[in-house]
Amino acid sequence: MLNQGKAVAMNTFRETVRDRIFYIVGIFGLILIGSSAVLSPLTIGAQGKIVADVGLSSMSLFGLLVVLLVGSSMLRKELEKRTLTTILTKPITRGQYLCGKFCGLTVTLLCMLLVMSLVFLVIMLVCRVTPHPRFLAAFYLTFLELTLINAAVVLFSTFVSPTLAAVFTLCLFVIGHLSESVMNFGLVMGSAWQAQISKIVYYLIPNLEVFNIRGAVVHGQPVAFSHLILATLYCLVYVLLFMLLASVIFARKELR
Amino acid sequence: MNQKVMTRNVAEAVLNPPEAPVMSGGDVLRVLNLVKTYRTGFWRKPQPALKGVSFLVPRGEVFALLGHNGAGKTTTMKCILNLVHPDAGEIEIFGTGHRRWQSRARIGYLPEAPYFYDHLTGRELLDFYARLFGMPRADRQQRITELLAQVNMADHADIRLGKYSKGMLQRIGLAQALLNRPELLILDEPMTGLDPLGRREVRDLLTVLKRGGTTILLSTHIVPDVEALADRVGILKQGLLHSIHDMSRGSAATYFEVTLGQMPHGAIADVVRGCRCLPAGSRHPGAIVQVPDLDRLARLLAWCSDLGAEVQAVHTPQTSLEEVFLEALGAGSGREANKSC
Amino acid sequence: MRTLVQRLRRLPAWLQGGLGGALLLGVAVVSLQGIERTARASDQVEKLYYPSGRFLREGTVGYREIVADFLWFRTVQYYGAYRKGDHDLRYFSGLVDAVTTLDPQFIEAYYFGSLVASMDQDQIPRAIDLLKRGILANPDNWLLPFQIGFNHYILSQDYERAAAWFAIAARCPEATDFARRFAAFSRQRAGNLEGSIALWRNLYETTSNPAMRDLALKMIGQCEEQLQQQAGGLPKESL
Repeated sequence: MLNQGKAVAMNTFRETVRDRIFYIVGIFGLILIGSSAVLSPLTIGAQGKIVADVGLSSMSLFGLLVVLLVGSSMLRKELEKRTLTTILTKPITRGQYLCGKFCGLTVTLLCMLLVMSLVFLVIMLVCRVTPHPRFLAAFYLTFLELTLINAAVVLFSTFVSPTLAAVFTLCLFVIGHLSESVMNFGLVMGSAWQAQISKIVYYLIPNLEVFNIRGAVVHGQPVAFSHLILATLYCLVYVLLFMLLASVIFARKELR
Repeated sequence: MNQKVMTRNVAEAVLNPPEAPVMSGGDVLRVLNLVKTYRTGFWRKPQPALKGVSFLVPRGEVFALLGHNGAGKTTTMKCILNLVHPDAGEIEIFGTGHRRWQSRARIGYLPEAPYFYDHLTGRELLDFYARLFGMPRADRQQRITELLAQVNMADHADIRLGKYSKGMLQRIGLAQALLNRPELLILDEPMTGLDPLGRREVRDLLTVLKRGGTTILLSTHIVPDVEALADRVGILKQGLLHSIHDMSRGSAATYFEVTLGQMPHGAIADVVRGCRCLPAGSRHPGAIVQVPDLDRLARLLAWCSDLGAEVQAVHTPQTSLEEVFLEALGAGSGREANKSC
Repeated sequence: MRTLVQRLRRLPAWLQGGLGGALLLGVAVVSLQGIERTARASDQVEKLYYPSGRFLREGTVGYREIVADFLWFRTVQYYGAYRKGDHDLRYFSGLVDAVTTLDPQFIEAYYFGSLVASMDQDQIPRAIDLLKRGILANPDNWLLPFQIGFNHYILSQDYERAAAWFAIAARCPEATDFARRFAAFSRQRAGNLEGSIALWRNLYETTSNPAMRDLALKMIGQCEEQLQQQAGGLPKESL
């Protein structure tokens, strides 16, 4: 059973690698990281910090861009082009197919992040900043965040158009990063029902700040290993939940 | 035996063929009372596609679904393949429910106007599908090479599908449908986009498969292909199965043709009033009378015998499938009567 | 007009293309110049409309540090324009506040901000407040309390206070000998010779720098002499 999902994953990986969007985003990301070295005269002593900030943030941003642009249209493209009809008439369940698509894009993200991490580390060395092992933690958590967002975009793309799926995913991303503010807002407002709604939103929407250790890493603060474990489990729970929901919705979908 | 009785017996045998076989261990596909209504638009306006379609396909048979555009052929196939969920009805494939994904390991499917991944080459596409069947690597490579040769695509296998013509896509589509040596092959308009040579090749291929025992469910609106390949034909009209015809017994018309030595007159004219009369030929003084039912045939023959009118021939014309199809659609036959008797 | 268009149409294609290109270029140059003028004029207004750090903190959805860096560039450029005489730094503190609110660990922003506030704007209390905010967010950083001490020592000539802040800086985990040296100097300058001796003694015992040890020893001797002269007695402890 795993073979079918693996075949779809490998095909998805091949498709995204041969997709020109991926190259453009990757090149743009590399340029941005490189340009951080050019802006160093304006930094007034903060060069190391700025290079690290630009590198880590652009990895996250461009990963998000890939997920939104590629992930949102992946399923719809197959539905519209009817490539799905010949796949789902093979001995593969719809859930396996979706998992394969998800894994394929996740592997693409991983490869992209690896390339960008290497470039980032080289730029750091060129700027005479010694990279610390805690940067690996930042790369890892960025990858986890993008994996979670990838699962969300797969879920949304099973029932809305690519544009809406991208918008919904972006909204999830924004709310996910404002999670604690949402909770505080409810507490501050004082009204019971507002507090309750805030609480529901807080627990329902994944708190993406869990994966944001960029500031801490750049400023040399330690990152606990337990935090990495918990973040991994947190990501896993949401990924499983989203993929399960996506499978249920997709199972009922008709391929006219 | 009385001529009347003999004629009646022949007519009855022609008009009432034996019933379709009931589901047996050798049946590959069973479709019972399939109903499907699409709901489209913001207000979910109902659009009936199937209104109760039933048929069986025994093992080794080629069953063709013939119908006009929008008759429900593709919807029927998609219901069978669980791509579309029917509102009512039962479907069994190989004796089990059609939703079981394991049954699809024994099915091959070619959709109408197939689309495939533009970024893959023909060979990569077949490899991808072969992996979905769980084929080991060595088997995959061998089978792909075989199929590419079989569909005449060996020279184009390493070109990306985005650059394929319609005909090439159709051939690759057929190849992917045959990857797993399916027991049931479902083909939706398999000749689309093929030139006459390509169509001939595909027909030959399907004939070979049929001889090899593959059960084929075929949908098309090209009648000559059906006549060449199908064992039985189901005519779909506006979501209903209008009729099923056994191609081995020919397409019998639903009337009798009686060739008279002269134009009907007098009492004979009274008997055949309402029937269609055609001149027997420019040099023949007689007429061909199309008698719609057995009773009128019996009376006509009796009167001719009593009155001494010459009856030259009585036969049930072998109507072409096209005529049957057009008649089922209500388009009528191409032979218009000059007058009615 | 119609005649002109007709005449133009009769020209060869290459000439038509050339004329069209020249016209476009002219329009581009003129409009860009106009845009540049407007941009320079609006540069000041732009700073006025920068949102507060508090809002930006929420609005940057996880990219606070990079937005802080972007604002930092704008702050540095703003200061550069001031040095060229373009404006009077009125929005400088707002920019620094935004940067430090977005990234409270941005030490360079506090440092540079306080320097500009104290040296260019002559607003020493505001400079010290900024540094104190920085200390709240970065309690282990020695540079910020040191800079407060520096402001008291150089600008206010309040040596007692300077000494106290230098001592705080010296107690920070990664403080260098520099901080402790200044603490001791300040104490001495303030007339608190006993305190000064204690600080120099601490430096002597903890530093690994031989030059520092020699200096500490020398300064202890000087302080003890001064003390002797003042009170006619030795301190309670001596080497």
